[in-house]
Amino acid sequence: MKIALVLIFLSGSTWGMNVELEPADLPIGYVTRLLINEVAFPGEPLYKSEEDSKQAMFEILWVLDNRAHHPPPGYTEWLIARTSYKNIIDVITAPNQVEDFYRGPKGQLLTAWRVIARVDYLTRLANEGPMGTFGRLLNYAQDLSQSYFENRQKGTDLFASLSHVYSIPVTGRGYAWMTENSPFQPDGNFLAIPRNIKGAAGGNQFYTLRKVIP
Amino acid sequence: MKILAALLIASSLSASVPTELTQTDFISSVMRYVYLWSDSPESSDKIWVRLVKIKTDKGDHSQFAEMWLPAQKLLIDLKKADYQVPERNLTMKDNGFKIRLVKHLPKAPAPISGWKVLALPSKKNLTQKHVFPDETAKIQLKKALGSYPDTGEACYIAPVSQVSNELWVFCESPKLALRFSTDVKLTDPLSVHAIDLNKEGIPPEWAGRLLYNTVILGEKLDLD
Repeated sequence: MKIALVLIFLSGSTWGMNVELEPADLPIGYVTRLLINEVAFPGEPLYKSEEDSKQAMFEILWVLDNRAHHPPPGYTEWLIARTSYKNIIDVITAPNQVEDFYRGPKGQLLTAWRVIARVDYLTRLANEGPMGTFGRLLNYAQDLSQSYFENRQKGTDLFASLSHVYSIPVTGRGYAWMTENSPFQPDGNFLAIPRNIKGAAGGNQFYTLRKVIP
Repeated sequence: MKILAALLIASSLSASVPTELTQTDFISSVMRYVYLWSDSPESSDKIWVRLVKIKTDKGDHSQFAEMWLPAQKLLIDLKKADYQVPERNLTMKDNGFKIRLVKHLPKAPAPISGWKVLALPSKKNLTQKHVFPDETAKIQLKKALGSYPDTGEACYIAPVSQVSNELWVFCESPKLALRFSTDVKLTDPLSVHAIDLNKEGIPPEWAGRLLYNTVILGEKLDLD
């Protein structure tokens, strides 16, 4: 009984420690905030489930990596994103790429105030009680980001071997995402990946590229 | 015999659509939302409806449904929330299906046999009285907008649809569109999506719809 009580006490005392995010100006913390900011949380209309939002974070990280390191045959970085880059931080902060994430005049990693407000709010909610969905989603984002920067990216891109979308030949891999209910969608050679093959998750639609002859 | 079996299967799938999704008033409200925010439904005379099975969290009894306008190839995604958010001390239990999103697709997400096919209600049913948030909600909205550094002094709110849990606001200077959305309680939104209308790539047709809904049909919200 004593042991059980001590365990309960310890568990209670860690409520404030459910989530501790890395600093936002470091790559791990910066990417963590992007993954958190981009997916739906409970209470939001596009939220379906914890698993669905985690899948979206996972795939967003792959989109960033694909853009940085896996341009498909016939495409250059410039054709995909009108810029060139060496790593996923460059991808994120390139002009007109990920909304609200950019570099300051001295190259520092910055986000819009609304990203800061949202992430702070979600973190506060996650830390106000026992570990729940909010805490698990935030920690998952940080775990994904940390693993990535330690060169052990988890799993494989869900769309790596995708060859056709509605009978149109495609390059495979995800190259863009957009909030599902956004009034805008990427145009040009981007093709929305159908829902029945998990092309939409966490409130986001994912896109691959039309195959071109190099 | 084979045809009869197919008919029976189609009938059993159709039977699983709740009545609330097939009522004329509900479909008219959905069509009005689509008409105002997305696409004119004038070329369609049929609408397909089905429930969709989505894997949700434990204890989450939310229901999901889809509507399909075959003439426009337009998908309308619906949700009836029924779950708890312990972190926010909220019960997200909605009293009806609400539109999550509307989008064009190259083809229907499932063959016609999985849907209940209905005739679209008469166009005269598209006319509805405009409803706006009540005074308490407006005060909270003003507070939320006041804490937003980019909103300027004058903003306009679009009428609220009874089949949507979102509220659009247009602010004049600088030109900004804000979407407040939530699964149930609009006065306590978790999600605020801001769109800078000065940015490149804003589709003119959508911008026109936003201005029509907020400035023409909407109400001015004085932030002084």
